[in-house]
Amino acid sequence: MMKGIRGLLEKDFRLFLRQGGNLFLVLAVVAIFFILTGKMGADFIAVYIPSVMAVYSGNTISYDENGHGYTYLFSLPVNKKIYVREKYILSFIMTVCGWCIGAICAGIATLINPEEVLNLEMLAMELITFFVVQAVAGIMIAIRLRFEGEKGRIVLPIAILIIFAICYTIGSFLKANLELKESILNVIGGTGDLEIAIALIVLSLLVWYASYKYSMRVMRKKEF
Amino acid sequence: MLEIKGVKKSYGEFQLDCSLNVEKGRITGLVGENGAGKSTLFKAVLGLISYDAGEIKILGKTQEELSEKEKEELGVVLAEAGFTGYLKGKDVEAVLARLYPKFEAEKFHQMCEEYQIPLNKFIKEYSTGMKAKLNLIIALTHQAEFLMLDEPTAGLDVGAREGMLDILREYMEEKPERSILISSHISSDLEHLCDDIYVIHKGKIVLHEEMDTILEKYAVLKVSEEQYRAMDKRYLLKERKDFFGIACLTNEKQYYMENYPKIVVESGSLDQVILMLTGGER
Repeated sequence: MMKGIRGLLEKDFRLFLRQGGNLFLVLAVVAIFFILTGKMGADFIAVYIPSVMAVYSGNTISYDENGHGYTYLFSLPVNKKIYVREKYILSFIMTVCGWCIGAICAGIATLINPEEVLNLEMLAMELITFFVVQAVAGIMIAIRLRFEGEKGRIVLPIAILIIFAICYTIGSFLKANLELKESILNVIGGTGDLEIAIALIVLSLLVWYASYKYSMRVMRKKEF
Repeated sequence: MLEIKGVKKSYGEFQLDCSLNVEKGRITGLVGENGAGKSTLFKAVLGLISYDAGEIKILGKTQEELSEKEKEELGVVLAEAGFTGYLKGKDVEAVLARLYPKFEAEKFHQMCEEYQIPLNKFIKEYSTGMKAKLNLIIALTHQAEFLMLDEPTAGLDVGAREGMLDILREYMEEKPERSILISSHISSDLEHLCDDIYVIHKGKIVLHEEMDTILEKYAVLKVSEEQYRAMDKRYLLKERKDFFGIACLTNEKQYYMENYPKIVVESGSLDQVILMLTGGER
């Protein structure tokens, strides 16, 4: 199994080098811009880079779909289980890389800008980001596997819009119901930061696992 | 190497219903017109599609039982499929080195050089012929025991097709216990390569015969209606009305040559046999 995963990882990293090199360059330029202008905080940079890197792993699926690519890949010593596992491993590796780069950039930002402080809170947020980004990348992979080609490209922005719409609706509802808002804030206020962090990490892990199981199921049913 | 027993698959009106065997040390051809079911059969063998009935055993195992290690023993070329065009030839080499422990990097380089495959170019910039050659090189450079080649000569000119068939002959000579299943809609490609031939038509195998038998015993008899009425019809496989009278396919050429010396006998070529089998009336 490991040979198959290693082969697919080799393919995807090479694809990233050939096609994602520009993305990497844009990421770096934007990060430097933020650092130098101080328009965004170091914490934003630390979240933004791993997010983009993780989401890229879902994007490699579209390269595999083109030109009967799946058909060919599965004629090699690779099966559907190996394929899905590789995508999740790829997103993990990309997140780790993005996370490290993000942390370095955030560190530089704090060095350049005296107002920025590299504190424990920021490091904790980075850690939580790592898990949340993994969950988001997992959802993206599942969506790309479920909806092929053009459909996938349409469904992805729709999914993001729906998430925003839900957040906006909840926000508006809370604004309209001040009592409810206050009681929620009381509950959150009463909960320690550590508990919130653990809850977020656990929730992310659950979402990640559910997306993995779903991706496996989608792939098992696929015919080429 | 490969055993297909009564495999059935329906796609709307199209129905695949096939049995086929590829024995060790043999080159088996699968010929049929476009849309006859060749690629569907290949996909079923590779587990890329499910099938409604029957059984497929490859290297003695079903697809579910086949481990990744055993899959390394297969070399596959599929019509119009390959690595993404956004990779370069040298990237493919690196991927293969990871996938196959028995990958022969030196042979890969040598063959790419010989067949003018530019490893520094993106695959999307390759011509159709270059892509076909690269796919065959990939299948041939990890010491596969069993090659499954679906239309490997598609998009190649006559010279390149001949060259490719020579490569396959050499591959078999290296290790005589190897086997090849090769499909093509260009029957002349297979005529001088294969040990036996399956002809597929509308999803069904309409002929399985040794290649030598086809060339020695099969023939098309061209007879007038009067000659047709008088002749023994026991060894006629198919008949078709033609402008001169009736064309009949037989697998007993010698019998008719000896007993009906006035009949025009056109010795069997695979093309003629296929044409008669897929277009004949009987």
